[in-house]
Amino acid sequence: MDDAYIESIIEGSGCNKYPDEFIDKYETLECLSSSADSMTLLIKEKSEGRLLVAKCYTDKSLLSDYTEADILKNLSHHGLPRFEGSYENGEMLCVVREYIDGTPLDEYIKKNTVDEQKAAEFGIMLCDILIYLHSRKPPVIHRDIKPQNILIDKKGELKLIDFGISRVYNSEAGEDTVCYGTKYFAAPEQYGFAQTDKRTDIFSMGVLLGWLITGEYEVKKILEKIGSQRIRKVIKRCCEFAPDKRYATVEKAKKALLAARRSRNGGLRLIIAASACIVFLCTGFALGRYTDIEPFASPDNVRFSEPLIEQAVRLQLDKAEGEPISETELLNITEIYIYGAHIAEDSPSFDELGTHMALNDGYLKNGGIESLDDLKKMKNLLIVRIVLQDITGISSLAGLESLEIVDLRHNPIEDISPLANLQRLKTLSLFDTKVSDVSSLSTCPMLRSLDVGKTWITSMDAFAGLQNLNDLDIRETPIKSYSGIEELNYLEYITLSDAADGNLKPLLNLPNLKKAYMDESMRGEAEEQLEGAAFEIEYN
Amino acid sequence: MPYDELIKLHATETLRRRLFMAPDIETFIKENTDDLRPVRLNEFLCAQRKSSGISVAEIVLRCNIDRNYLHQILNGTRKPSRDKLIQLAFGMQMDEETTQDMLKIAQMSPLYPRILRDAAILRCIHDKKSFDEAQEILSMLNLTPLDREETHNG
Repeated sequence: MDDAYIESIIEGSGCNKYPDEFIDKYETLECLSSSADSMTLLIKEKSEGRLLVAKCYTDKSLLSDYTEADILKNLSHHGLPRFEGSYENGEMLCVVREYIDGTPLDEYIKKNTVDEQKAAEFGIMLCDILIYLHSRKPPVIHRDIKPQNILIDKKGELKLIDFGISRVYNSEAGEDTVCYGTKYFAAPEQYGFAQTDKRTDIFSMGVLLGWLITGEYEVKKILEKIGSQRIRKVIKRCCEFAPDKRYATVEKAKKALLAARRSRNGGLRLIIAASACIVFLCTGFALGRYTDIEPFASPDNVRFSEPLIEQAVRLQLDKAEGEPISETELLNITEIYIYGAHIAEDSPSFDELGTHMALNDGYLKNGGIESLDDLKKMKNLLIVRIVLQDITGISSLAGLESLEIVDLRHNPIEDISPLANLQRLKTLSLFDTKVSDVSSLSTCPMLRSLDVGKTWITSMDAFAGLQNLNDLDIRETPIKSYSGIEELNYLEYITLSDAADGNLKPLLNLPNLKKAYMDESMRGEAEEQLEGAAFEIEYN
Repeated sequence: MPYDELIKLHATETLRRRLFMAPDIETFIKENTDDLRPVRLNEFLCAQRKSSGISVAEIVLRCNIDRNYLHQILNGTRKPSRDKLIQLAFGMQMDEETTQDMLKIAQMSPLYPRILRDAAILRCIHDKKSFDEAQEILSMLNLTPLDREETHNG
């Protein structure tokens, strides 16, 4: 194996961005999770072979004054990971902590049943950790209590990890300036209403307990579903909108939880179960289940805000106009195709519509869709092709984790950051949009094919971190120079329509390039500069 | 070129057609229960082995994996580590995408190009290097070879 081969692997991985001391001391083994501005890595200490975890922040401007390192190194509690060290350079900060061999709560719950009794036990263990954190001087507020940040270890004990957005309470401060926290588990004040304090963690703990018991995230739904009155009361108090109405301290919440656990009463549960049976029977008769009376319309019928999306959904579900569609049925939708004012059933018929675009025969008119909110509940969408509309915001696509193919050509979209972290996204087409930067897609590990023709991209810097791309289309894009394209060293296909600054030689540095599609107008420059290139050129 | 090729790969398309042909959703679910549940790792591996036409003996030879261990993985009685699965990717001559799909089905972290070790493995898979060549490259980079101990979540 030659040195150049080895060298190209090292360069391609960008591993030279880690702080020197960090890379000298540890080997990175796995990426456990990643977001737009940080990665959590499993690492191995080179000298002793110990496994540890490093959280590496790539955007240091987002860190609060006290970093995770500052907080962790002053803590010592069996429910918290031990701090090992922190390393930084101009580009990155890596905080190394103990590796805990455990299961995150969100995974744990998939394989284990957590009843109210068990949830209360977890709650009490979490209280103990929070009591310790809040009693530090100054108090440490975790601010990101959610299932993914709580591990159950082999002994069944609970560990709280990830101090990435924790802060030390500053009694002088007015309100928190940066809006962090995970939706549902974050307290209202984390959205900027006031400064976060101990009661912020109490709110998240309340939602967490409710979620453990009911599987619901919304406070209202949690409270509706909880059987035990006492536990409901504790959760309700933890989750009050106004911090003043919540328990003032975790100690008080713990006391209430202990009392609720003690008061659990089998007889009461029997009464509730019997009442539930009566209610179900009555509901059954009311809905005509046991009679010939027509049932009432189901309350969860979906209403759409965009008529074209509704039509496309009806086509996929084979539902006539006016026929009710339930939220559950939306989970069966895997594909949506809309080209201008026309809907299509599948990709071939969608592409057939596209031929009218090429012919410019006036058949295709803008469909006028402005919002993608209707897609939010279609959690199993694999393919979204909604082209030639007035869509500007695509935040509704952020939670659609199954997405593999997204085609949003001819839409006035500027910001594509909601697509960051889509772990399955393979193909993305943004032709004729107002996008000027795609580096946020560096957190989409499966992304292979990207069409950003006729966008506002002006420099190869816009592709930072997209080394994994296999197919790139940049025709009619005002890119000034192709220098830097060699960073995309897995590229096999490229489509270009002009020679930018006249220099096509950077293409020769792409080791895997198989074919370049070029505009006929580029033939002269290409033949002059790319003679003997290892890749094929096709002009059109 | 990529759209159509990718779409062809989707078994979902077949399922969708069956959905339309079924008289109602309940019948569809009843008749397609097997296709609707998540794919099991051992089923995925067996299907891969079948479609690539590689025998168990060849896999053992190609990636230096214990024969009994391999049988246990293929019949679902043993849960392999991430490294073992990557080792199998070499044994079955999987491409990058299939390797990532396999890791996803096994609920393991995908190979991440920003991690030097993963980047080296990805490059070896992409360049169709043998398992031994991949081990040599890892060793030249002073990285842990592909038969380290099992790890868990973090």
